[in-house]
Amino acid sequence: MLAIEVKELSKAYRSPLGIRRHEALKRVSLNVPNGQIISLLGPNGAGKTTLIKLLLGLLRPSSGGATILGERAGSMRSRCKVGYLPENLIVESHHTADSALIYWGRLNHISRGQSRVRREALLKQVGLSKWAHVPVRQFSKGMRQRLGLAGALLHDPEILILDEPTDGLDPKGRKEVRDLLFAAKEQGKTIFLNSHLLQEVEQISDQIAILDQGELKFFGPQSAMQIEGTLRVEFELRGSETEARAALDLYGEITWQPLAEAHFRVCLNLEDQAAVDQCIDGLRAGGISIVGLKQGTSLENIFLKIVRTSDSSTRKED
Amino acid sequence: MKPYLAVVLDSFHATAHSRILWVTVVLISVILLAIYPLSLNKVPADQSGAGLQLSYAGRDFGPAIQLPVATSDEVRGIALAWFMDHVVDLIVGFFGIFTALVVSCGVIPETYQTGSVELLLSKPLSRPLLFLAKFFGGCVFVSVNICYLILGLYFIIGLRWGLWDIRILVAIPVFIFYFMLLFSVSAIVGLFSRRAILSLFVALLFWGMCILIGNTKLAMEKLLPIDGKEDRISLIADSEDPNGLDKISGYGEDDRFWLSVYNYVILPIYTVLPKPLELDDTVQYFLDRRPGRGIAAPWSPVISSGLFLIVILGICCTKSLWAEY
Repeated sequence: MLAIEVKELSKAYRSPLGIRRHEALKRVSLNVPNGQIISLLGPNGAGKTTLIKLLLGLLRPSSGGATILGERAGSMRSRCKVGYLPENLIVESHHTADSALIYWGRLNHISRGQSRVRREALLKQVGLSKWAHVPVRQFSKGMRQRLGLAGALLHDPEILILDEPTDGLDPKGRKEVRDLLFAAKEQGKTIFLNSHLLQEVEQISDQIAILDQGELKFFGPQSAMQIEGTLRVEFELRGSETEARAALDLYGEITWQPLAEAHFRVCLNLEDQAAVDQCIDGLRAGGISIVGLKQGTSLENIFLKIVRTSDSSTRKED
Repeated sequence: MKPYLAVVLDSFHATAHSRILWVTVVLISVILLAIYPLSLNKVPADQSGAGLQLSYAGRDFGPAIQLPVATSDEVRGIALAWFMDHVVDLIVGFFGIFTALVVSCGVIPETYQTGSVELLLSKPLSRPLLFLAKFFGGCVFVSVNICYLILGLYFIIGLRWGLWDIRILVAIPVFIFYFMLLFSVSAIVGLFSRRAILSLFVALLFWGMCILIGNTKLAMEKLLPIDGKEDRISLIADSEDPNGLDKISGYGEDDRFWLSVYNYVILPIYTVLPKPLELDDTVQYFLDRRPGRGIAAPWSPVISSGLFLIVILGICCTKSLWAEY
């Protein structure tokens, strides 16, 4: 049985007087197998949140339908099997992390005793053990996100739907969340997440769905994303930073990550292999040692190309 | 039902943790302490009968109230009715309900705000029951305060006046119901607009309108030169004879106009609206079998107001069931 099955799903919003109609989702179909991490990508207004809300039953489809583990999306039975973390989670200020989990557990038909065992483990997993009895009004956004994630996992759901789970987290927090998601995946859970952080998505996703203007532009594994003219190159360099910058400045946007004294990791996007060779020549000419080299297709470039392509085709149609 | 009970209790905890509970508890305690020195003592009357003297902390206020009755039971009954009319109605019926509306106006809008409602509705809960749980959660907090206040008043008049009358406690469910009526208006506005201030404003406006319509109806019944009130007016209005009013009791043009206003405007609105003021009459009826404002049956304000409450909560449940978030 598929974890999530979406068939020809459409959603149109109407203006209050019903004069204007905006199609937020257009005949989207996708099948999500069990035990995978699926990331939903798309620019603002692409229909990502609409799709998530349709899966949770917060919105009703204009046409088509969706099922979660064989149950109609949004039905009481399907909601029992889903753990959800909203994008801007608001936890009422009278709660502590512990009391919020007790409350959410009760809403998921979990007894106090059952949730006690799970919430201690979960608070430890999300790094909030020391904050269990502190009012959530004192929490940072990242801490609230981690608490929300613990809440989503509390009733041991088979499917996790997470809207920007790493939003507001520092790099350490993001790593902890990634580890948590991998652990959940190992337990056989399906994770459907919406994220703007392409680097994160690249690291954790089994499959990627790209939505743009309500249409599903791509759905499949990262390896299936083949677009010519985009190469992501990661160099590990030793030597003078000034010389290295002089050699690489020609190639546009570069990400610098200092690792140690005169030791850097540099990421840049190049057009083809000839450009990579030229870049290596330039670095060597500047007396820079190339300690490591990784090469691949940048998800960011592919994503931008897909979105731009759809944008220009829409303009042509107009 | 456990998840819904959790929602009810959570609403109570939310208000308790916001210190509003403790502020109102302190406020009620201050009111009770302020009332404690108030006494209504039986004094010898000038003529036959008895008199009642109002005093505060041993100091008399105004002349004694002359009563045409003399038995202790009758005097006690009148003292009790005076207490309910002047103290309970003012403190609970006005200040108590006003404070309760201010405190509870955020319960529904906050539940349905973005970021909060999505999480709640993603849980395996029925939407109408979730709304009702939040609504009754708002009422629990107010109920605790009303119980404290009325029990406090009960003990004060028991200790100070020697009036240990359990019937005073009828005021507890009646005033909770009174609050629920106005809170339902606040809740429906909060559900549709998700704005606490607007829901409070509309609830207060609605309260004022109910009082205005109720008092207008009473005033018109007193001022219009008719006997038999509604039945008679309906009879006249239903009559196809254009001069029917004049023939029956010599009505003039003005009377005819005001009777039409009464019959076609005031009376239908009064029938549809809840009757918070007339709920006092139900309490009075149970206290001393007085007919209050002339209502025919003590339960009629409760029944008509109850129907209003059911309709409003029904609309809210339907809205919450079909709304998209």
